[in-house]
Amino acid sequence: MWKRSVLVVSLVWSVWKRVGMVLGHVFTFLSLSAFFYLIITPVAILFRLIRRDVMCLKTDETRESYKMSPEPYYQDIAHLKNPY
Amino acid sequence: MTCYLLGLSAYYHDSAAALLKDGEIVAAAQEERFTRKKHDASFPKHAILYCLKEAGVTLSQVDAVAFYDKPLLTFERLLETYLTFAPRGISSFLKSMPVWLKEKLLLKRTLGKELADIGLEGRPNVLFTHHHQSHAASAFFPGPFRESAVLCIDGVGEWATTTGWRGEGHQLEMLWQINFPHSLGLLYSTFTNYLGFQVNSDEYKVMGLAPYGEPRYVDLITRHLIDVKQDGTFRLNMKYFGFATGMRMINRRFSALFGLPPRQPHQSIRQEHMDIARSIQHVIEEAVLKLARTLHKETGLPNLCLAGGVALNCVANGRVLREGPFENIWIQPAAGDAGGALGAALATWYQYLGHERTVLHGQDAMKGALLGPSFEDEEIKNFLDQEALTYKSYEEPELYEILASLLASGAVVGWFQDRMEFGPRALGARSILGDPRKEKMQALMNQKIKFRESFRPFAPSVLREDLTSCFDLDRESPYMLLVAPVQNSIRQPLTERERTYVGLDQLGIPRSSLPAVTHVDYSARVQTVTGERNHRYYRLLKAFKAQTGCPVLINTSFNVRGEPIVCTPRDAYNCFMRTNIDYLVLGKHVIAKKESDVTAPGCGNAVS
Repeated sequence: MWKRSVLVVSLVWSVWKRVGMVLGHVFTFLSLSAFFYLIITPVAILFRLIRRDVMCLKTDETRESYKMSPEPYYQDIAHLKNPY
Repeated sequence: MTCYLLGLSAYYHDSAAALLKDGEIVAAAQEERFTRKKHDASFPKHAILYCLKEAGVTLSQVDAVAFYDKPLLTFERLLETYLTFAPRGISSFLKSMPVWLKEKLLLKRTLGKELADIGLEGRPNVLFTHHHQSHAASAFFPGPFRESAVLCIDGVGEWATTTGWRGEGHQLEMLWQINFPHSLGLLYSTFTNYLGFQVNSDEYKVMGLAPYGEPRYVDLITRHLIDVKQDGTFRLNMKYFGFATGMRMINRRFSALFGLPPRQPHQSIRQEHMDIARSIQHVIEEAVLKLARTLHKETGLPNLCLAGGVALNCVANGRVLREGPFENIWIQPAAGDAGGALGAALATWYQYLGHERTVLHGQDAMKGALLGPSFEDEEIKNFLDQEALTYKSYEEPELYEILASLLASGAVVGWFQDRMEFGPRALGARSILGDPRKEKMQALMNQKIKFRESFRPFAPSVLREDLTSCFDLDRESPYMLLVAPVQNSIRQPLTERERTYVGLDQLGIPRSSLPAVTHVDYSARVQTVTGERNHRYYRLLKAFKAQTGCPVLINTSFNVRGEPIVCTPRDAYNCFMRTNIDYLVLGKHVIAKKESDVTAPGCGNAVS
C-alpha cells in the first residue's frame, strides 16, 4: 500500500515540477516581454526624440579622431573592490 | 609571508585560471582543456584546482581572487544597447536577461558559492579588474620591457573595444579608448560569420583564406561599413550590423552590400568569399597599423605590447613589426579572454598591491607559455601499462634520433611533452609534427589528421639560430604570433602556367623548399625554438636538422577539428587513435599506429 502511495506522490511531484518549470518559463517570458515593450521601448523612443546618442552611432567626416578620453575609474585603483 | 593571487576569466568565452606566487606566474590553464568543451565558458573549476595543485596550496591560502571583468558595467552597456535600439532586440533581451538576473548580476555571490564548492572556507576576497585593464596588464607586466606603449583590441569587454595605454614600471595609464559598438574584433567576427565560419572561434580561418583573394572590396567596406580616421580610430555604421541587438551578426543590408547571401558552412568557398576575406583582413591591418603609429606618437616609446583577441591576428602583427614605428613588439601568447585571468591577477599584484616590477630586458615572464599540467614519465608509463598498450621507451639522445628519422621518412608524429601551453597555440608541448619539405604534407595533415579545410596553412617551428636562413624575420617569435615572409633564397619560382592560377587552385603549388609551411603569399607563421624555453622540442629539431639539413618542422596543435588541444596522456592517445597520426610520443615512450612498426627498423634499440 505504502509503495503505491510513494509512487503516486512521486508521480504528482514530477508532473508538478514540470508544470512549475513551464509556468516559470512562461512567466519569465511574459514579464520580460512586458518590461521590454512597456518600459524600455518607450524610453528608447524618448531618447531618440531628444537625440541622446550614448553609442555614438553617427559618423562625422569633420572630426579628425573618434578617440574618447579614458573613463576616470580606470585610474582609481581602489575600484578593484567593486564589480562596477 | 607568501602571497598567492588567483586570476579568473569566465562566463563569456574561454574560461581560465592563473595563479601568482609573490608576483611570479606559477600556473595558468584554460578550462576547455579539462572539460574537453572547446571555448568552455563555465566557471573554471578544473583549471583552478590544477593551479592550486601545481602550487601546492589550498584555496583558503589564496589571498585574493581577481575576476577579469566588471559585470555591472557590462550590464549597464547591455541596458544602454537596448535603450538605443528598442523595439529591436527583444530576442536577445529574452535570452540574455534570465542569465544575467540569475548568475551574472550578483557575480560576487555566484563566485563565492562556486569557490565554496571547491573547498574555500570563509568569505573570498574577490576583486574585479576592468576587461581591458586585464588585457593591458597581461600584455605589459609579463612582457620584456620596463616602459612600453600598450594596445588592446578585442570584440568588447564592458564598454571599451580598443584601448591605448602607457606602461612604466608597475604602473599602467590608459590614454584613450573606443567604445562599443565600434569594434574591430566584432567587425572581423561579423565577416567570419558572413563567410560561414564560427564566431569567436574561426576568425583565424578568415585570416588563412585571405591570401587566396584580391582586396577588391576594401573601398566598399571603408565607404559603407567603417569610417577609419587618420589616427586609426574608427566608427562602424550600425545600419549594416545585427550584433548589437539580434542573435545574428549581420542583417539583410549587409548581404545586399556585397551582393551575396551569407555562406553556409557546408557550401563551397568561392572566389568572392576569398576576396571578401582578403579585403576585411586588409582593412583590419590598416586600422591596427594606424593605431600603432598614433600610440607611438603619443608615448614616444620604442616598445609596443599587444593583447586582446585581435592581437592573435598574426598577419597584422607581422605588418606592425615590419611597417610600424616601434623597434620592438611583444604579444601576450594568451591574447584572448583566457589571458584576462592572468592579467587580472597581475593588475592586482602590481597596480592594486603596488609591488615593484623587475624586468630582465629581452626576457619575458611567461616561461614560454608552458604553464599547464605536466606528466612524469613514470605516470605516463603507468597509464600505458594500465591500458595494456604496446610501446617502446627510449633515452635521450636516441629518442630524438629515432623520431627525426621517422619524421624525415614522412611520418606524422603526435608530440606530448612537459607542461601544456597556455593560450590558443601549440608550441611544442602538445603538437602534431611533420616534415615541411614534403609537398603533400599540407593536404595530408589537413584532411587525414586534422579533418579540416584544405586551404588552411601550417606553421613552422624553426631553430632560433637558423631563423634568418629560412624566414625574413630578425627577432624571436616564440609564441607563433608573427607572420613573416619566407626568405627569397629558399623560394621556388612559379611556372608561367602556375602564375595564372587563382583562388584555391593555387593550393598544392610548391613555393619554396618548405612547401608545407609556405602560404600562397610566401608567408609563414613562425615559431622560434630555443633550448632554454623548450628543451626537448629543441633537441628534436636539432636531431632533425642533423639528419636532413632542415632546421624546420611543421607544428600544428594536437587536436582535431572542433576539439580543444589535448591535456592528458589519455586525451593524446584518444586523439591519436581517431586520426591518421603514425606515431605518438608521450614523454620518452613511443607508440606506433601499427603495432609492428614499434619494432621496425629505426625504432630498434629500445630501452624497454
